[in-house]
Amino acid sequence: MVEGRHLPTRSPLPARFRLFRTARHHLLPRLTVLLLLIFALGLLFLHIAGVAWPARLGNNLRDLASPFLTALMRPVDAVYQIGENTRELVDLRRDNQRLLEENESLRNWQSKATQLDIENQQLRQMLHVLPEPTATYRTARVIGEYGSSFSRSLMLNAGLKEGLSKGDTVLYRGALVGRIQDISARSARVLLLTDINSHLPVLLADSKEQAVLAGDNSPVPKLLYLDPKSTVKVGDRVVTSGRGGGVPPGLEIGVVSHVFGENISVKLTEDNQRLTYVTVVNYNLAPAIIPILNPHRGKQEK
Amino acid sequence: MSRWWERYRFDLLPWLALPALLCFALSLLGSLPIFALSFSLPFLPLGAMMYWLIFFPQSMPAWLVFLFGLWCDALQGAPLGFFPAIFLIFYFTTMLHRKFFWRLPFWALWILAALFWAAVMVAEALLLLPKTGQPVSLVSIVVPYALTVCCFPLIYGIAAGVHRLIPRN
Repeated sequence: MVEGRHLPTRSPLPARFRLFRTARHHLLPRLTVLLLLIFALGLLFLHIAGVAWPARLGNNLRDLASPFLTALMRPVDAVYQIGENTRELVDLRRDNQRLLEENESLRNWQSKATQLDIENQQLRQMLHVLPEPTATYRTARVIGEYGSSFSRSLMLNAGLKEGLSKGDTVLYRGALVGRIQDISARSARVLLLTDINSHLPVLLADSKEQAVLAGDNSPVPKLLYLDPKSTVKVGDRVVTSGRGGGVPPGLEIGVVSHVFGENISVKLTEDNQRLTYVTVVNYNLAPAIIPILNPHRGKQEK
Repeated sequence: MSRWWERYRFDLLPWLALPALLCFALSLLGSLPIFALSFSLPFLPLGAMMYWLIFFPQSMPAWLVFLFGLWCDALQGAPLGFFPAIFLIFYFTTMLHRKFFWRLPFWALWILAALFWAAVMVAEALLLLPKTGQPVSLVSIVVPYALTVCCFPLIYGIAAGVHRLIPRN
C-alpha cells in the first residue's frame, strides 16, 4: 500500500501557480474554513428546522446528478442484461411449459372475470355507486440508490416534466415499493418502505387486523400498533389498508417474517430485487395528510 | 513586464482537477443501483477525501470541500449542510496538524479513518433521533460502516495512484 511518507513535504506545485493557493501559515485560509463551517452548520440548522429552500437546493443538486447517473447506468444495464439473457436462454424450455399451463388457467379466469365485471357494473348502476377516480400510470427508470443511515431511497430519471407528482405510489410488479418524497423537474426521490421516515397504514390480509408498517432503515420494516390480542403468525400476508388516503387498499407489501412479542418484522415482496424500472401510479386520491390552512393567509385573501 | 495570464500555470489545471473529479466519480459510483434493495452501500469517497486533504490539499480548497459536501448531502439524502460540516471539520484538523498526519503509516491512517467514520455514523444516528423519534436499526449503521472501512484501502490506493500521475514541476 502506498503510504504518505514518500510524498514531498512541500507543495509539488511551483510557487507561480496561484489558482488554488493554500498558504498554511496565513490567517485567511483558516478564517475561510471557519466561515464555511459556520455557514454549513447554519444550513444544517435551517434544514432541520424545516425551512423550504435548503430542501429545494438539495432537489436541484439531485437534478444535476441525474444525467451523470443515467449515463453511468448504461454500461451497468448492459452487463446486467447479458446475465439476464443468458439465464432466460437456459430456462427457456421450462418457462415455455409453465407459460402454456398458466395461459390455459388464465383463459378460464378471463371468462369468469368478464362475467363478474358485467355483473359488477350492473350492480353499481343499480346502487348509484360513485365512480372511483382513474389512476394514471408511468414507467420510470431507477438511476440511483441511497443506502445511508439517513435514508433508504431510490432516484428516478423522471420528474415534474414527465407528469409525476409528490406522493405518487411506486410499484414494482404490482407490489408497493415506496412513495415519491421529493420531486424536481427531471428527477424524483422515492422514499422506500424500509426508510426510517416511512410509516404506512397496513392490514393483515387474512385476519383483517390493522397496523402501521414502520421502516427503521433495516431490510425488514416493523409492524407497530397491532392489537396485543392479535393472532399474527409468520407467513401472514401484509397489504395496504388505504386508511389515511394517498395509497389505495389491497396493494401487496410482503409477508410477516418474524414474530417475537411486540417485535414483528415484515419481509418485503421486492426486497431482494435489483430494480431497473418501476411503475409510478397516481391514484388521484386525497392526500394522506390534509394541510392545515393558515388563518392569517385566509384573512389576507378575504 | 509579463501579462497577467503568464503568471499562472493554466496547463496544470486539468491535473489539479483530477482529485475532485475522482471524488465526484466515486460519489456517483456509490449511488448506482447495482445491488438489491436491501443492500447497504459504502461511502466510497471517504478514502479519496482523506488522502487529498492530508497529502495534496492544494487540490481541495475549502470552498471545493464545501461544495463536494453539499453534493454528498444531495446524493445521500442527508440534511443539507451535514457533510460540508463533517468534511470542513476534518479539513481544519488536517490544516492544523498536517505534519503529524504526514508522518503516520498507512495502518494508522486506516484506524483514524475508521474512528472518524464511526463518529460520523454516531452523529448521523443522533441527528435522526429527534426527527423520527425512534433509534435507527443497528444493522443499517454497522453494515455500511464496515463496507466503507473495508473499501478504504482500495480507494486510498487509487487516490495515491492518481497523485503519482500529477506532474510535480
